[in-house]
Amino acid sequence: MNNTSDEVLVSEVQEGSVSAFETLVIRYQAKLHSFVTYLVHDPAAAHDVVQEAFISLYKTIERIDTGKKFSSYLFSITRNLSISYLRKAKFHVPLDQALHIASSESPENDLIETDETLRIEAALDAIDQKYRKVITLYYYDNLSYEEIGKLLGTPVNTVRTHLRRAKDALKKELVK
Amino acid sequence: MKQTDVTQSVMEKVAEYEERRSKGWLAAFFVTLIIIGISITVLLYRAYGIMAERHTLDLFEILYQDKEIIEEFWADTFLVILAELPQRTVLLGGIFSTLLICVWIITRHRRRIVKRRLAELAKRKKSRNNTNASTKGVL
Repeated sequence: MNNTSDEVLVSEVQEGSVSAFETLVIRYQAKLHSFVTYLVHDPAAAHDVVQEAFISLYKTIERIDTGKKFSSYLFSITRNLSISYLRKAKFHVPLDQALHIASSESPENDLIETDETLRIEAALDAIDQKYRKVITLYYYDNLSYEEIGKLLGTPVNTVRTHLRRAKDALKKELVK
Repeated sequence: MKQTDVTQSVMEKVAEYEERRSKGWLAAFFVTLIIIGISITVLLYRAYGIMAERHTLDLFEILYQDKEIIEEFWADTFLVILAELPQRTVLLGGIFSTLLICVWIITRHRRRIVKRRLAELAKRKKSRNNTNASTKGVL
């Protein structure tokens, strides 16, 4: 079954073969792991995301059109799950880091910073979603242009343009 | 490869999910069949009761008569039987029977898939148990 094409394996799974799915897992796990590690910068998290991607793939495999390229579908599921992971990770602050923040800031500074953060968040909410996404990935998740491009499936130059426009839009919103 | 190998954990979760889904589907399928089957039986029993009460079934005795008598009276007898049939009950019975046939035909493909999946899962479980048993034996 190792030489069988992806599309044939997918139709086999659709026809009830569980072992065909195992072949797909074996075939793609290493590629997906590298892809996710590159996106989330955390091999352990990548392991979980890859697992989740395969399970999610299995649950939706009956809806896959075998006329279309399977790997694109699989990578897009994985990319979306990686984005979800990054989004969740953004809100998770490790305890030691939280303690450090708590001890180093004065209540007054906290208040000012909270106010600033709220203003920025409100401005972010007001701008176009595609710009908001780029800003979030660049400034909050510290991803490079290349990584954002890969994550969103857009060329690096488009990422650059979107980021510039996003900053302009954000500026306008903050001045309002 | 050790770090990236998710095959076993993925396949365990897939097997668990698939077993639950397939068994759920089979249960729903059989419940549907049983409900339709019971409805048909009840309707048939009711129709039989009504026909027995009206002595319609006695008309079938024509079948034991001579050939000439059958040839002369079969059409009239048939019309009388038709007229005496409890039409609503028979109609409902017909609808339920059609439904049963439709369910059977529509789910034919799905049944084949579910059967194949459950067979593969059972095989996988068996081979895993055998591996575990032989590992224990070695230890």
